Amino acid sequence: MKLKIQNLSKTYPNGTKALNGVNLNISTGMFGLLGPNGAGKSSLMRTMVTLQEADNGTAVLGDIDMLNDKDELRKHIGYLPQEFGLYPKVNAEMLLNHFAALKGIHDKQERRRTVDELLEKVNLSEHRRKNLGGYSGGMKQRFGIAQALIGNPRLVIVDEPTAGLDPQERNRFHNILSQLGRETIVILSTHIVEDVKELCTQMAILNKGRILIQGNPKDLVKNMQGQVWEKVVSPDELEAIRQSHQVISDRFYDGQTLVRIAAASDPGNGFEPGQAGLEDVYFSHVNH
Amino acid sequence: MKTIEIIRFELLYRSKKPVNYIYFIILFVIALLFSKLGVKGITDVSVQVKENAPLIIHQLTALLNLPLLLLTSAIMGVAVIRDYDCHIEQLMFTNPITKKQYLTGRFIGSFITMLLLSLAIPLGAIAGELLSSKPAAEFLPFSAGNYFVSYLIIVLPNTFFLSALYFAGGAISKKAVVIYTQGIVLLIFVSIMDEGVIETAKNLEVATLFDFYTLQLFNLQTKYWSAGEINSQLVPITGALVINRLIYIGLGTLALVLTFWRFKTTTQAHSAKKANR
Repeated sequence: MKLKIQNLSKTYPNGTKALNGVNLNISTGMFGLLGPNGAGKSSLMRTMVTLQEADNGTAVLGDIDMLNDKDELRKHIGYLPQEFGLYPKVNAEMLLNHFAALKGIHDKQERRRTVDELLEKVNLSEHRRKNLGGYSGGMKQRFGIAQALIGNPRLVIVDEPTAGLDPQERNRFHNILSQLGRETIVILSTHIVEDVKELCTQMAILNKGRILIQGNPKDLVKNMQGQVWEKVVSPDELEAIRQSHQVISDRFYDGQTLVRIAAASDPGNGFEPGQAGLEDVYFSHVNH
Repeated sequence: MKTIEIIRFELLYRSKKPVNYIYFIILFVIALLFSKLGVKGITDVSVQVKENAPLIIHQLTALLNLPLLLLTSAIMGVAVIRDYDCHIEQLMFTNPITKKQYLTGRFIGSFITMLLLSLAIPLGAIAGELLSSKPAAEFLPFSAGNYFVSYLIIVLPNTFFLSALYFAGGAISKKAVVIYTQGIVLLIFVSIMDEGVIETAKNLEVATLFDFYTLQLFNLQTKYWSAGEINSQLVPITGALVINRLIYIGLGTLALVLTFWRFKTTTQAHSAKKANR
């Protein structure tokens, strides 16, 4: 299964360029879409799941024209939005059953089986009769993933799925996603570099509506190896370094500041070679 | 198939709300009390007219229609707005359902709820007659049919008309405040039409074609009826009545057509600031 996006653009009525000529090639597996808040990640996701119209460009999933054949596309996608709610007075089983019917599973027996399997998968079987209004953040998120998996979608899109989850829930969530990535395209949108490093075999960095780089996370890190240098400096020195070098990141370190810069060769001046990581790839592109 | 599923879920959803049962009970009790007390006293008919003459039942039904109409905005307005209030719209509209299936299912499901609630009017009124403490000589033999004829003439079309308008207001604006405002304005409008404009209109025959509660229309047609006629005749189904009812059904249908045309399943993105709160 392939997802191909070409030259996708969207400008909001207030003039904000949310998407500015986005190109992406995605194949089966986990795909990480990294970018700071406001980079256009949600706009891109929402366009891919038919909730928003694009101004220009094309998007094709297998043989489905995503922007024009919305009905067909909706049969094959699952979407977990960044922020969503549920009917408080309805239980998980009822709502999941409803969504399954809307997805097109008309046979009652089959629908019941689907609902059972999904609740089992996201570990909500014992809470199936509980009203959704009483669900915790983590349970709600797990219900969200269950509804996104109805009908074995070809493309699953999850937008900032682990925000607000405790570490254990986050782990469990990641396991479900990884498993899913073996057979389907899973797009994970996040601003947490760690998540992409742990989970994804493909990734892209999006900022200000543009794709800055796309590739395999390991390759991207490898390409940066030998180009990262670091040094502990005082705040005054940091300002000077900002003027003369391409600073990747700086953080407090034992009362002083550890600054990391990108340079093709040894910048001298007391800089030591640093071990490149995905964060360096991310910051060197986003801050550039 | 999917439309039927949406109707099924809508009814299931409504059935889980205790407030809907309370609405029914309140309406039933109001209808019962008014019917038991009798409305003949507030109409200027002769003392020989029986308490349950068809025309009196018609007037009672028109009066009882008002509290039901106050409920219509509460029931119909939320049919679509609920999804936005619960913030579930993104999950809903990424399902392979068309706008037509969604709106049809939500409207029919909610309208069935309204119809079930509205049955409290004839049922409560019937109970009121049966429980009346007035002497039996004041009554014609009991006939449930008369209650349901007036229900079909007044309550059904009026409920459809206002249901369609509140549904349209909610679906197109997606804002609860629009429905409340709309609700007050509409009810004041149709009531003024009835009380003021029609009563004083030069051409009564034309004016009563727009009579929302059909009371003036019947007054005009039965003005010269004797007490005996009122007691023996059913409410007259005339061409004017049919036109009157078709006008309101037509306006309601128009509101629904407008809804299907204007409603959008694409939604506004939430700003990053709000989403990260």
